Amino acid sequence: MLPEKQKKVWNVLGDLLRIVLIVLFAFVLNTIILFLSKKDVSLVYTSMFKGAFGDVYNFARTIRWSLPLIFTGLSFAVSSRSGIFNIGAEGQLYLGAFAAAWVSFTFVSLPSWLLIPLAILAAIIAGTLYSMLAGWITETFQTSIIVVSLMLNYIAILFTEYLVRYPFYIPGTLGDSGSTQYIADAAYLRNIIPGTNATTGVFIALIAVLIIALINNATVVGYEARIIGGNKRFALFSGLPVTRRTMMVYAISGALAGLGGAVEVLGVHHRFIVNFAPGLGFDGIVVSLLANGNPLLIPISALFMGAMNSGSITVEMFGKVPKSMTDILMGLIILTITIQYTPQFVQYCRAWFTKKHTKMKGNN
Amino acid sequence: MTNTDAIVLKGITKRFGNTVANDKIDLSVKQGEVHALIGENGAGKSTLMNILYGMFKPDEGQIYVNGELCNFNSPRDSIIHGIGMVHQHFMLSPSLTVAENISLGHPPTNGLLWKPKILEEKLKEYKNIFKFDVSLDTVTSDLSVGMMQRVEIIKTLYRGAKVIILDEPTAVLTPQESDELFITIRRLTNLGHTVIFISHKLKEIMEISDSITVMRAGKVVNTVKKTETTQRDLAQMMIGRDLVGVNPKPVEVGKKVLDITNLVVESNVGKRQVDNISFSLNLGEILGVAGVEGNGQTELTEAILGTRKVKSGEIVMFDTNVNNLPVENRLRLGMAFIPQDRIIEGLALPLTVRDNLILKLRNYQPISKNGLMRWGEVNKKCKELIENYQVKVGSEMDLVSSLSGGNMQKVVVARELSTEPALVIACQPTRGVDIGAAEYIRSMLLKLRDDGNAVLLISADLDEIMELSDRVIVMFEGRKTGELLSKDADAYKLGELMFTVGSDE
Repeated sequence: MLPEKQKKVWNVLGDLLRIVLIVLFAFVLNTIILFLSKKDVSLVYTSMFKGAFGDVYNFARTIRWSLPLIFTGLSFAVSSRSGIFNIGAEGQLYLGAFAAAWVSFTFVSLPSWLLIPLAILAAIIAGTLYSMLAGWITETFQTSIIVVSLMLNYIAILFTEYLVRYPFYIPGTLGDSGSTQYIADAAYLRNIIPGTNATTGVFIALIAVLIIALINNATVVGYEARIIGGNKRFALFSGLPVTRRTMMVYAISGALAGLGGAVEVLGVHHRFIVNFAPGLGFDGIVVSLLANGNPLLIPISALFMGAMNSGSITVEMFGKVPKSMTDILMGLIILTITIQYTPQFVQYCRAWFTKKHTKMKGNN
Repeated sequence: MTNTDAIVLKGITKRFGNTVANDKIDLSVKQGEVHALIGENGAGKSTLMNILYGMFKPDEGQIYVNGELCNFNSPRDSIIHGIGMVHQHFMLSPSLTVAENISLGHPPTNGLLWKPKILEEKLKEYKNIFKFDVSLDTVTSDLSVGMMQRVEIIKTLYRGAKVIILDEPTAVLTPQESDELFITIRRLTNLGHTVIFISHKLKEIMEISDSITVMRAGKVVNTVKKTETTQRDLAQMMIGRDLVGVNPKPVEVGKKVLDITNLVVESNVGKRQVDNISFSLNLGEILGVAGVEGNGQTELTEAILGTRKVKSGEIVMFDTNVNNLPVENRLRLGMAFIPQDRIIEGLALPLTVRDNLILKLRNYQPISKNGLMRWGEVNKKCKELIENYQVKVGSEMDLVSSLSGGNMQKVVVARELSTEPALVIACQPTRGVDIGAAEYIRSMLLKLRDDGNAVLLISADLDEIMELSDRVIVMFEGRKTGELLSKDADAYKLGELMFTVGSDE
């Protein structure tokens, strides 16, 4: 029993090490770029670090930016584990956010303990249904989930904008600035660091992480979802209810993204703002890839991405480098992750690993 | 027509590891003839043709094209020497147009500029010759299979092929399309082209070819003229050995567990692959399904499993009509299924041995309880299965892709038998498996039978069929061409049924 447990721990540590190595490699490349453009490398990085972790307010901002990425990262991790490249988290997040906003500015008389769960539930339902729509289209018409979910993103984003500008438009108020009215105070998520945007959403995110880890690793359905991701035809031949499980995966994936939207609205914006979260869905893909799809590591990789976001402001103010440096850094990280998935690289690593492995066996 | 040899192969030998795929092959193909190359699965036909096409390099031997000694390092070299090959699985890009597919790699230019006119001019003559009345701008995926094949042939001609190798060209065609293909082949030889035609089907070989070379176990048995041979002779040459059933136990027929009546199953493109088949299988016996691959066995087994729709007829399993039941429910009745291709249908390669091994037991206690996996119990069970089935693996947490073919197959067999099924469908259970593992898997199947279970064994390996089965049915072109007790069967009888000797006589 012990060796297996050890192996599990090693697997987690290995994935953690992987994150560190990828980030390190990207930073090295980024340093070269900074160096070539004759910037003060140490000043850039210290101001970045200060911006992300320098004091309690900076740290709170880092958390604020990490939170939605945990949800979208989980959303992508869940679906990609079953071999579904669902990149629709962004659209599902928008619909979830609007649903949460609608509940909490409509049922203003409800108490906090009822209103917040209701708003969250509405967001989850909106995200779930929208994701299942993508799933239904993909599975019924045998189309590409990438295309379907990508296009549905635009529909969701523009649909919520329509809702804000027409059915929920109130003249002379926030409507003109492209947002709904403010939600009831009772729906606000409480701050965990006073005066900042770091809210109790953190706990919601961590609960979501634990639930997903539990589903993935401890349940029969989670095991079946892994088999479907491993080889769908094999799953079909083995009599797994592939369609049902796949739709379940779409549903969970959408629920997570919708939940992320609720946390954004209830925790940060307190209203629905048109086009409020560009890129959160896509950054979630990077978060998931960086964590190798492991839900337990997603908070860590999300924290890193949040820190980069948060630090980018001070980089521009004090580091004398444009904010877009973080975009370059992000690009380098994606590039580094992508290299890992090229067949040659995988083959090379596998050969190296088996060589080592057999050596180890030989020593036994 | 002249009588010069277009292709001469001398002493071609090709080894893969310890197996000799081609053993000192001599073959000469006259210019302008249709030369058929026949033999059982694994006789070495494809290897030989891949050598001629430059895909493999022979270990020994020489290739002469029009009397000139050639050294092919890649298909590019053989194409330059006028050899073209149409593979069984088409090498066409479905999203490109016909013109783009034909000119792929050989663009129509005047050395500098893209000149689609050149292509059109060149193709005009082919279009007339082959009645290919399809616009060059048609997207390839819109074509029928027969048309795609014609595009492949035209592609080889466009690249200057004088000798065209057709690898089992009729396997994917409907009878009408086959007839059209034969007309096309005749037109090609009338123009002076040479055609090498690989097939299993004696009837069409007698119809289309001028000379026939029979291969068996990597060697050429004989080359004969069509006019000097019969289907019966050819079948004997292909089998060429005495097979003896070594299965000693007399059949004690138990309860009927699988009953198939007038079953019709179609391929994805609507070709009738299983044509009105009826048979039944009882507890305590192994029923072998013999036949050359591609004669409907895959579709038959998929229909039994439930991954393919039944067109008409009935499948009754344990007294339940399962025609409209999903796979899940059929398995629950007590069926297990060993698929023919473990990589594609039998394993999830990116996952661990444990994940692959425990799948069928996932809903049984104590493996899971209340929807939660109990990994401690899973590990215990996996260790037990690994030991019982002698799977050579370090730990159940190793990736299944790190195992050898034989051990992968043992994982498949161990998993399928882990639910103690009463009916086992075993498709090519020992294909690509080392001798030790194959023997072990065969002994497991015999033990299943001796314990009173039913086994349906689909195999292209006649030895295996003869060794294990109590009763044998033979499939040819989707039909059941015969059913006999294995004590009455011998290689020649089976061979005649497999190749339907004399179906037209």
